[in-house]
Amino acid sequence: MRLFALYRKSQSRLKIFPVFIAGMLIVMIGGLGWRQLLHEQFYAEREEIQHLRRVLIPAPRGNIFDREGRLLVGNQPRVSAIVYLNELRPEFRRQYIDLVREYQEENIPSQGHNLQILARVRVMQEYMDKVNGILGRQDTIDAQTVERHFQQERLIPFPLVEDLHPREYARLLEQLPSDSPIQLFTTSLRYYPFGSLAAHSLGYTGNLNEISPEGAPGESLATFHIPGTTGRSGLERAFDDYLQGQSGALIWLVDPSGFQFDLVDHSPPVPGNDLHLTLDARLQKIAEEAIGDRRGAVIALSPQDGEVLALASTPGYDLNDFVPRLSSAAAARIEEREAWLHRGIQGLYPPGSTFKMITAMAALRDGIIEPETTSFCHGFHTVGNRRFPCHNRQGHGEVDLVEAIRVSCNVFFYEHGLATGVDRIATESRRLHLDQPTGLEIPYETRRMIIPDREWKRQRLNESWFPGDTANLSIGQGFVRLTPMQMAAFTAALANDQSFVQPRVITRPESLRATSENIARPLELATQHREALLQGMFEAVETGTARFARLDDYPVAGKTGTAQVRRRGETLHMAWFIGFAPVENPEIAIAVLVEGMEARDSFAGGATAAPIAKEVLEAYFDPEASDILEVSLRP
Amino acid sequence: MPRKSLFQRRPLLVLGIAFLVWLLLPGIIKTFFRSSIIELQAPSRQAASVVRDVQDYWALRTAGRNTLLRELSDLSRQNSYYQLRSQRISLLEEEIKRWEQLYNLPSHPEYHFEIARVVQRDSTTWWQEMTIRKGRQHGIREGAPVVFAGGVVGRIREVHLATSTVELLSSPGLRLSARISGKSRPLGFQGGGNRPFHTPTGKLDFIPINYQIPEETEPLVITTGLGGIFPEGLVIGRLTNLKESEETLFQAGQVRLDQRLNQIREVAVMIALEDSPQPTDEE
Amino acid sequence: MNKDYRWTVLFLSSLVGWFFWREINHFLTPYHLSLYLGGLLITFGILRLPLYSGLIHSALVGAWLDAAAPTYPFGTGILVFSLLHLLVFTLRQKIPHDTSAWMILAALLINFLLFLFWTVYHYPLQIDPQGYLWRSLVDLIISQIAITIVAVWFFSLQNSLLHLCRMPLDEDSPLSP
Repeated sequence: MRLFALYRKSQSRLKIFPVFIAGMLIVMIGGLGWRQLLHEQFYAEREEIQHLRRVLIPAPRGNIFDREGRLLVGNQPRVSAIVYLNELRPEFRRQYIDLVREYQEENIPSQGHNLQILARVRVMQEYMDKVNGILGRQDTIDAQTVERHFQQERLIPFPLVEDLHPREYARLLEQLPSDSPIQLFTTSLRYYPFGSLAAHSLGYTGNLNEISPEGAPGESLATFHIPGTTGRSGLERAFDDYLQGQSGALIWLVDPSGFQFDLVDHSPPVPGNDLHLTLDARLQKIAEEAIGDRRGAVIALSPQDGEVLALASTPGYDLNDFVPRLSSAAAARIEEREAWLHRGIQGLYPPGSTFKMITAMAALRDGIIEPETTSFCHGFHTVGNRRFPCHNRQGHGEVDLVEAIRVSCNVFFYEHGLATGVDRIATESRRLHLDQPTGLEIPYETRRMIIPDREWKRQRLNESWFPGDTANLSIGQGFVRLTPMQMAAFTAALANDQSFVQPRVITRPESLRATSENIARPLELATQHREALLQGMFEAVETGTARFARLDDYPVAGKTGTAQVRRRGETLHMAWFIGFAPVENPEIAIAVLVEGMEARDSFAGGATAAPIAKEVLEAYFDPEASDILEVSLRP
Repeated sequence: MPRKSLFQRRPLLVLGIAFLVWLLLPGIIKTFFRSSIIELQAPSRQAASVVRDVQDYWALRTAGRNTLLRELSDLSRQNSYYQLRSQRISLLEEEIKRWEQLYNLPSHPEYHFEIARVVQRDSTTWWQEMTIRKGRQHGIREGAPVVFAGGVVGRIREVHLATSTVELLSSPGLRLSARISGKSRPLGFQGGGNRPFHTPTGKLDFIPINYQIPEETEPLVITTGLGGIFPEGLVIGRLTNLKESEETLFQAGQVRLDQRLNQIREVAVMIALEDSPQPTDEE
Repeated sequence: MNKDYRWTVLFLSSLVGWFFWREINHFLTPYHLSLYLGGLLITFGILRLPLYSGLIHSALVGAWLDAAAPTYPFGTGILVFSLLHLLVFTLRQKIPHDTSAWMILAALLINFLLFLFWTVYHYPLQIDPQGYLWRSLVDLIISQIAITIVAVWFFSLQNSLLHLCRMPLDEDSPLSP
């Protein structure tokens, strides 16, 4: 009663409470209305994000074809036996109940969570055993893998056996019931019909755990990725975006446990675009076989448009070894053979006597010599108090420019090279763009080529430039370093009377073709000067140092070179040949480099490199003669 | 008012309990129950088959003498032809064996053909199968391939004492490893059901994306022998058209099966010789 | 209730119906057609028998058909037939279930529901859904036509068998001979 009296007494003050509660209710209702009506979209989206999941499916990469439409890089299916965890949930539950009963009967203490894991592993092992029974395998399920998949990737199929051999998937297909939870799941893997052909240029792919979601619907959703591949080297890397295609997506409505409930949306993957190359697989194969087990590079290109017909680098590797992943043993073998290097665009070598063409061009351009200018070769040339030898110790006698190129006389080029000077030779080299990469579409072309001059030597070695350096440079020795691709591009430019020909390996799409920042200009060498150079190269092939490159039906212009390099205390020989054919209206330019690996390799441009060039040129001019392509199908 | 039983008051509850009991019943009891029903059904199936045979017999009895003479003449001609073919095949088999021995090749598994009459064809909307008049007592085994003159009929799904059930090639439940004649890559075949008044079809999966059907002829689809059940080279059907599958890596193709598949009266069950029951010494 | 064995007689009549149904299907197979008459077999039991013995009949017919079905677990048919039995049984007081026209209608409805159930049940297994639905539609139509034609005969057969076995129905039936 007292309490009631107290209430009545304070009634006026209590009146504030209903007002307060009414106010609260108005705020609540208002807030609710505001959220429900005005923020409906926001909450709908939040709900969607909570209940929808996206699974990204990689698209098959685009194919790569050669200039004749032969498939160089394609796709092959990779078949795996998989199970969807979602479909096994009732079995997980049953197995869990059995386990609990089993543990209780035997009084074994255990945590429910551990039993759940054990139940899942047991069920998965049962399915694995089914596959083992059919395929005669002994595979076991790894508990950690199952648990990780269950916790993190439950929307993605769990692979029981990956990379099934066709014989294996044929057995599973025939012996598993069509409604079995074990299904055959296919993804795409790279496939190289010609194995190691043009391996460095084509490049390889590696696994990519998170594929690009670009273009796939549901970008705001939590996303699971089915692993795909990405280009790791060569054209596969350079044009990865173009070849990659657009990932597909499955949008799943998931239950509170995060398992598939209903497929809401499905956008299939769009295959990547195809790439068409200038390479001729047949010529490439011939080039690689011609160089054989030796280290080196063979590059053939069209002088008119710079299209690379063959770009061989040896030793190579079988690209199929990278599928699905490169084993450590295979990687070690590649490492041991120093086969990672793309010698065509990354190998730096002194160009040897092939550089005499540049020395001659510099001397002719600046009027230091004329085609009729002669020198007398005693077998050596003295600079200061040092003798610089000619390769013919007896001496060539009196030689003019054409003869000097034919017999590759060092003395002629020492003498006139010194008269021309390092500055003019370096300038000529730069005019020919030998101081920079060619800009071929294949990635990782080296930028470390060296056209030495006074400034370079001062900066690099903090030394002055000596006349002996000029003598060495005149015959392509000493500090100068160029790639076989640069020499091939130079040869093409000389054949085409241009200062530079842009090498390229892409034909289609045109938008991806290499465009030269170095706008090619005419060579601007007097006609009689150029003709003298070509005459010298022609005679070198006909009767001179390059005679092993001679063809019966087509006139070939060529120049050999043999450079020495000191490596690991040994003098190694680098055999060069550059040339083009026919001399009039040239169709093919070629550069060959064979790298001596040991001091006892007595490699010489004429004897070692020229015959390789001859094989390639013969094959080019007589395509019917040999069709040696063999497609290596994956077993 | 008489008191209603629980069943009358709560029929759904009782049914639910019965269903639960059924679920918890050991599988062996259910299997026994089911097998018993099937064995009970078997005589009626066989009786119907025998009746149909009798019908056929009487239908033949009504044929005129001239017709019979003509048939006989045709038959003897065909017999002579097949005798010649049989001799030729025997020679070829010997030749193959000789080459296999010469090159140490694994010899092909040999099969015994158990000829069986079709008792019942059961090609419904939901499944396609047939019952044959040979069962466990004739050495038939589950999973054995079943063939006829036109190629594969299907696979033994279930074996009973004197009858067996064959899952037909057109059944979506049947999958086998197939290849296109002239190609080596194993593909996946699955029955595609039966549209009314249409030839039965199937689906061929995993066809390489660059494969095209030759214009001049629809290629044969045959078994690969890699799947472990069907021997190599049995005809499945003809590949009639292609369509890109959703995976975009392959094409899927439609296979037209033999139109006689649902009219067969006699089939041969292939029993691998190493699997067939060996005669005992007493016999 | 336990002494009501009319379901045995009805089950025998169902076996006769099943035998002819199967034989017709055997001959329809070359045309890729088939009949489904499961609904016809259980209609009489649902509409005319007491709940308990009718339900036993339906469950037995379900088991009989289940045994030969390769695509679903044994027992599914028993459950479906029993559930459908209970569903229609609860409605039977609201319709004149002892007139032949209503019985035919009921048979058509029950058969339709069963057909629909099995069609939906098997749909996920199909690889040619369009062909499957087309075949289902044609089969459903011919099944319903077949029921319309044979239902009166079949119900009369069942009724006659009950009379022959001295186990008549509780009330006079217009279908009685």
